[in-house]
Amino acid sequence: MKKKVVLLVGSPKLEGGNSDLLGRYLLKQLDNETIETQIIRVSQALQSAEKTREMTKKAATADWLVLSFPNYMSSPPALMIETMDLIYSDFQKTPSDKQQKLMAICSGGYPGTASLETALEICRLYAKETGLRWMGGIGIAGTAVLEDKSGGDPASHSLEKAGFMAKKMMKALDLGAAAVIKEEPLATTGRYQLIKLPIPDWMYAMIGNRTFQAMAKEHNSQERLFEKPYAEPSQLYPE
Amino acid sequence: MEILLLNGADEQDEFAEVVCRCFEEISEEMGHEVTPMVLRNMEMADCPGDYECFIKTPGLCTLAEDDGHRLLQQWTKSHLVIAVTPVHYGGFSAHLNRATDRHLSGIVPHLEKRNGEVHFKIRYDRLPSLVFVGLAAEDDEEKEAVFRRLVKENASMFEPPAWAMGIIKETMAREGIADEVARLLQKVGAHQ
Repeated sequence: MKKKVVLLVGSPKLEGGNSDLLGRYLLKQLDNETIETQIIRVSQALQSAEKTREMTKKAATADWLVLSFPNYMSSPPALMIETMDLIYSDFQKTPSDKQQKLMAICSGGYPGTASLETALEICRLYAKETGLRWMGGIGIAGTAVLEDKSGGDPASHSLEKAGFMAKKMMKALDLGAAAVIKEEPLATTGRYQLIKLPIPDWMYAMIGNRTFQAMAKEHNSQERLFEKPYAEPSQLYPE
Repeated sequence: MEILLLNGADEQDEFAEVVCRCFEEISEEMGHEVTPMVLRNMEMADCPGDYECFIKTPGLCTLAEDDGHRLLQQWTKSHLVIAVTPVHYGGFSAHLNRATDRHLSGIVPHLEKRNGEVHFKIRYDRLPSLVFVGLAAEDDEEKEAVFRRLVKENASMFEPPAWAMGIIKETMAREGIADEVARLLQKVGAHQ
């Protein structure tokens, strides 16, 4: 019987996005005769009760669950947490007869990795609480460089197209795929496989700020970028 | 002082109600004005992270009008935001996550180094202080450590004038809860 690997993409975007891109790359490395892979985009699955049931059913029969999500404020985003809660509640009602495994890929737009580690810690504790076997986490920083500016179909975008900036990311995901194939925990030097871009943080900030300025020019909003449309607290407190 | 009190419980939860009521009572005794919001009862779409509020409509969320807009306005104008959440695997509930996820419009498209990490610059000059409270059924050092780390990193991103965090356990007596609530409010300058 084929090993079943289910990728749950936790991005609020309906399709595409970096979580999708990174998860798809890992699945592609598994594409062989002994492994069956499936992608579930939780933003689509949570749109109806029927699709949600289908998702939890697929998760219940998986040998490996792989979560791939963007880092929102040092945590998986709300949609991912909601999905994790639903799967957990399903497990409690109908415990699986096999030892299922969990791996997580967390990606973030900042160049630092500390907040990615916190989000992965939440996934690790989730595995512990639900009885899944924790197989490791990959944290990938600076994913803004992966954005496809060609305007093409998001499904045809790939990590390979991102060139040298994505080289270390692919290496980490290859290790993730090797762990799934060998049924072993992810090989890491620290607690997690944390990947930074091959450029210094200041350069990333500089490139990012220039890109934002160019985008603002396109939308004619350069003069309004720092506006404060909402009222701030009155000056009464704190004294 | 204007206080926004967020109840992030997953469902009707008596313990979360008790803790929120305690915050409300003590704050009102101190003469503060409290706006409570029960997040699970609010219509709030998920932030797609497409940065439209950065570039196209600076500072204004582009999602269709929902309770998330009301939350953002109230959050921005408050002197203090108190968020009460069950501790889920060391993190926040999905409801509280959904509320904090909507804060992209509160930062501007300019990266800068703060507290040793590159972050986006904060849009507003005067920000509310923050209190995060985790509700837990029992002692769990690992979950508490991750929760503390998560709150600390959120505080470092929001840059509040003052912040505090606590874990309140279901086994705590009513007096213990009141003491903890008073301690947290004192830490952010809302209790004498």
